[in-house]
Amino acid sequence: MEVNAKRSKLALRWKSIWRLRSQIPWQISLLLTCFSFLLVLLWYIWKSESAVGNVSQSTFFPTVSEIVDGAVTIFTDEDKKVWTDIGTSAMRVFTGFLFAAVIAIPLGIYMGSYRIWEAFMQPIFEFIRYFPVPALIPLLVAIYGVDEESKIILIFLGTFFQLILMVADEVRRVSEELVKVAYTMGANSIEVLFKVLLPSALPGIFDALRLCHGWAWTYVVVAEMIATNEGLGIRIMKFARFVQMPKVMTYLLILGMLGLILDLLFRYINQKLFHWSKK
Amino acid sequence: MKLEVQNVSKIYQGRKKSIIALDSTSLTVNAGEFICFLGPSGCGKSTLLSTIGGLENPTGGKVLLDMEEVSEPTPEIGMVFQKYTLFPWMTVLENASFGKRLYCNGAKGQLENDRPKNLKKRAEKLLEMVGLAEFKNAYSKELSGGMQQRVAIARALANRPKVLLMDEPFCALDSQTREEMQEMILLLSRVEKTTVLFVTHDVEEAIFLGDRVFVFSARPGRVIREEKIPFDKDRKPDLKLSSEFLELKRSLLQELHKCHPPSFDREKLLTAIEKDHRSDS
Repeated sequence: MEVNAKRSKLALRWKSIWRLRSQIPWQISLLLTCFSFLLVLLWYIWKSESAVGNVSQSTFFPTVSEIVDGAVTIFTDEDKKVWTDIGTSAMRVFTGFLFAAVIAIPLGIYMGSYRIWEAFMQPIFEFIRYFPVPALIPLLVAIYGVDEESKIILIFLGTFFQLILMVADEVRRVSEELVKVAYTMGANSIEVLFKVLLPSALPGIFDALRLCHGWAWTYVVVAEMIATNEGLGIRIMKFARFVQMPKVMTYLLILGMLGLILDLLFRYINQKLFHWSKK
Repeated sequence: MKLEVQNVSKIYQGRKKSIIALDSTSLTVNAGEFICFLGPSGCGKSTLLSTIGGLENPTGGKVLLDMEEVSEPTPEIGMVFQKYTLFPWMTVLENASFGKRLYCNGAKGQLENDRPKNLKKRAEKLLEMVGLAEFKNAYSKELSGGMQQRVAIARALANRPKVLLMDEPFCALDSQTREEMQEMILLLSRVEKTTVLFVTHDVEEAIFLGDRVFVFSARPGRVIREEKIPFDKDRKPDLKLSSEFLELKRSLLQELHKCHPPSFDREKLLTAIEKDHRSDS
């Protein structure tokens, strides 16, 4: 009897997990996350092990132990190239993204608040947003040369147009009543903008930063196609040219880890800064 | 204080046809009065309220507050909305002192001797009056709907408006909380000597709160009746059970039923039920 009761209770819980948007215990959520990583790992192990002996395939699917070897050589390298690569790429991402954020946030706020600015800027930005950034490289090189400048501008272009539209959307999402209430209490337009619209949209803007920041890391790899000797992107391309796949894999893992850590950092800061937000 | 609404009308211009949201309406409100606008949704009562608050411009006519035309929002006219409108990044106390803070910094310095220190005191006093003194450091996400509306009322009153506009503020609350809030706003309006214009679709609420009730009809929105409520200012929830109250309620409800036929097809549903009966037996 008791076993039956227990079983039906379990069945009930199992059912409730599949209800849309229902909460699940954090242990299960963590377990599932680990499971997904494990699945990818298992798939890779299977793929690489079955390629052993097949020359054309095993070159491109190094086994896990080969990757570990590659990683060890990379991290024990005397020139400490990997750290300069990370540093150089991070610097590029940071500078390009910083410029994009500094310009996109105020412009986006104005675009989301004033119909005049919206009509003036939104359509042209929507249009430019669809330009494939890698295709702009020749143009950038022609205008800005092959130095850091053109790389940073590439990252800027890759993130700015996305970011500004997202910021504007966040500002538009602020409830109309909040604006009205501020007006009826004597606020003028500038006060409504800075004391109501901006603080209200900030958590959303911060989240937009988190998402766009990810794209910046994609574009840094593209940007490093332009003449350079250091950086994660150019190193990957160099390794690939000499078919050093374990090292390519190591660098891909580094990129993934960096992204994950920064993403978590963004989320953490968001929670700390905007504890009042409902999310 | 005197508020005059002179021939105010509002027409929304659609592509094919225009909708008369509010037919030409005139009324005068004296200092200290509690006025209720009663009617179903879409009868223009909220439009009239927004127009009085300067949030919407009328198609025709004008609103005068102490002989001056109201064409944009002013701190003289406060407003409480149906939706919860607390600023979520501010504490309860910061919310409550929002209006006066702006007012003191702002250009319209009628209350210049109200220094920020007094302002905080005033906000605290109002929070005390609405019973939320101990929640002054809480954020809106920690508050229930009723509490949020109480803060919104305190915030509006702390600004010392001459007129307080309330757009179905208790509509989303459960009925017990609503009754409590009704009594509270009656007392608050007397303490603060504020004139209140209150929009509602609840007949009972309108009679309980109002010194005068304006009944609206929909399509086109217009005032079809003005009812002077014969009770004195001192009202308790028991009043709702008195025969005089119920008589008034009956009369107003009948008025509303008369000019608002049901929007569904009653005959069709009735015949459907009948058919069902016949096939059953």
